[in-house]
Amino acid sequence: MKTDDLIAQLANDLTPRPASLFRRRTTAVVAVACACSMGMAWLMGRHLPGWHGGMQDPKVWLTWLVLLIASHSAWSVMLKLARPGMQLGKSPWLLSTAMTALWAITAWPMAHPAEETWGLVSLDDGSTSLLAGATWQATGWVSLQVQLLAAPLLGTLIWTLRNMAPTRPEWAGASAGLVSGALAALIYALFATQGSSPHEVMGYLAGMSLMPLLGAALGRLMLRW
Amino acid sequence: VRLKTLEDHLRATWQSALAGDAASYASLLHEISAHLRVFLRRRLHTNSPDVEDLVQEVLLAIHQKRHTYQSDQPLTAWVYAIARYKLIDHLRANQQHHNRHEDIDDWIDQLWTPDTTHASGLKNDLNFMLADLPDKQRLPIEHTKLNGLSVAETARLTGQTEAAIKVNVHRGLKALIKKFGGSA
Repeated sequence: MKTDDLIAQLANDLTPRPASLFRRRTTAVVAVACACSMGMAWLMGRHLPGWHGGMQDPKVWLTWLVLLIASHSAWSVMLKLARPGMQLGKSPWLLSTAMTALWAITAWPMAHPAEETWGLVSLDDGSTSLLAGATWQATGWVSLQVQLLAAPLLGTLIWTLRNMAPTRPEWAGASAGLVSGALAALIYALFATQGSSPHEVMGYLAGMSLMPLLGAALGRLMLRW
Repeated sequence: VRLKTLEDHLRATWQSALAGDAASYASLLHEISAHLRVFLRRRLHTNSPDVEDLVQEVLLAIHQKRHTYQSDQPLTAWVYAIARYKLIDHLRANQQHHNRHEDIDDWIDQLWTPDTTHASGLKNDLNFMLADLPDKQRLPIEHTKLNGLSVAETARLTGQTEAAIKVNVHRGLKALIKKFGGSA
């Protein structure tokens, strides 16, 4: 076909498609997916709120805040990766700062196991340990639950990204994975029945770090256009 | 400075085009396609039809993904990012194609078969045409015109005199022209 003919055809097919429509639609479907994850958290026996414990413990607040910042900055990175020719700007820095803070929150009680306020596991002999087998099992369990909560979110995000035009599909997929992981961890943390213990925060991290890998793989498969 | 004015001009046209003005949209796509042609030709180092195919593909992508452009970003950056994406896609696909056919053994049939069948077809046609001539005309024509022998060699092979060879070749060709047409 001649290029001129193609242009004529395209000009005939000029229905309005405002950019804001897609933004609103994305926000709406992500909100629905969030609600879905919250429902799943409820079914997992985590009932709102862990607020009583959370209110008193500033570290719990801190975890929530950091998770909120992480998901927000991952969200803005994702929106940029979804469009051709966008500069990433400062958002990756904010994202890596939030992730570092999350690591710090996890590592801090590990370095100071004497602080029992973080709900360390008490062993039979009266000592406390972070390295007890049961704790690591719990970490694995938390990480699995976070991933389960993240699944509907990741699915929705990939589906929305398919409508966009990511020029780096793998990276766009990975950022969607990070958004879903951080949001899922936030939901999980908000629905905690008590303050988050270090092994739980460790679980958030483990669950979150797997999601970008999954997202990158999905991006490679599904986000080409 | 030129880039800046181009950007301003394109963006102004884009705004009115997306508001539903099909004519200015078409002229905008025309203008963009000219820039794309230059961009892609320079990067592909070729003038092949690939360039035009790729230009069309990018135009189609621009059309289908037009909602991903946000008015706070440069339109040229958006367009060239799409072009680059499609170019890389194209190069990757071509490389795979190239890798598949790296071995020349895979090519040999495609390279030679059409030519040889064509040539043997011609030979069949010639044999068919010559078959009607009497031997004393046919053999001199085959030897001198098809096999590339000289008149003297042909004379030795056929036992005719050199003068007779010349006359018979001439008569044979004349007979062929008379029978199958064409200008003498």
